[in-house]
Amino acid sequence: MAFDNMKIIYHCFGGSHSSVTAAALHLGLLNRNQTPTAEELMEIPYYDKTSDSDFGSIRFMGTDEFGNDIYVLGKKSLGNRFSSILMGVAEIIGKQDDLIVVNCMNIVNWSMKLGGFTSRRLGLVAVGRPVVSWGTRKAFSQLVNLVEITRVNAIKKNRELQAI
Amino acid sequence: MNILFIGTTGIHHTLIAAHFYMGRLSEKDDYSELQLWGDRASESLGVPLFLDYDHMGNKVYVLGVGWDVQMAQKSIEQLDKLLSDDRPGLIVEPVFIKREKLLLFLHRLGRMKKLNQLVQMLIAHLLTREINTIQKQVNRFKEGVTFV
Repeated sequence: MAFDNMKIIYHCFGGSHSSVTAAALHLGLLNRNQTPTAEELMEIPYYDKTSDSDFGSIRFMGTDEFGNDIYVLGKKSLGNRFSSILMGVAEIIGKQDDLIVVNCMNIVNWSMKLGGFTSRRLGLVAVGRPVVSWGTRKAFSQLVNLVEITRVNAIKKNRELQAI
Repeated sequence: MNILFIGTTGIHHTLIAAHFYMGRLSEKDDYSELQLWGDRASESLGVPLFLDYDHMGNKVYVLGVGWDVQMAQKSIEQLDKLLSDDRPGLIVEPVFIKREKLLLFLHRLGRMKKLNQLVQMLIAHLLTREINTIQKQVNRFKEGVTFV
């Protein structure tokens, strides 16, 4: 089955935890049937490794089995409108059919917020990292659901485009 | 080509800048009469708002992006490059004023309907002091921009 290459962007506050984990799930870097260990999370590119200069940067994570390019993005406090902003920009350059934007913020729990802030903003990695890893593992099943919905949406969108 | 003016809000100083750029506004005009001025409903959609075409046929848009305008510019420009195969379809021009964070705060305060009218008056008053700043930025943009 031939698909046109789509760009899928997972975004969250820092582009360091929930979006990165979602992208890793999408690419099969994590087993969706098993909650990862903290060590497995640390093996994901960018997981709890970003710096301030990464905010706003659209970072490539890989290509899925359908040829869709998967990216992550830390949007800081740009809020829930950010998906609309990106899709709106895509629309004015005529590329809205090539893009799917996924907001991971609804899945971020307090452990991830606290641990992420402590590790990335305060630089207290030894304290923050275990907390954010624990939070990510707690939110894992929700991330799996989010990714599955995104993958189905991507297939649907591609089929609709091919039908035109 | 598409020209996108961005600022903390898209319906105040950014809107003024876009109209200065298109030559549709002078420093003495009443900018509160501009279409989309203070239009919270349009702003809340989160999508670029189309204004008109400039004298060269480029489409001109405005967009409010919240606190961190420079970061938003970075993301938008990267997205354009990603989707357009390195042939940019968009020029992004941020508009900054000294009191933009106060403006954004007032704009958010205006969510309370009872306060909205007062807020719009305060914003209009605040911007009277920023008109020269906005005009200078637009002039610099016009001098420096090249359309491919």
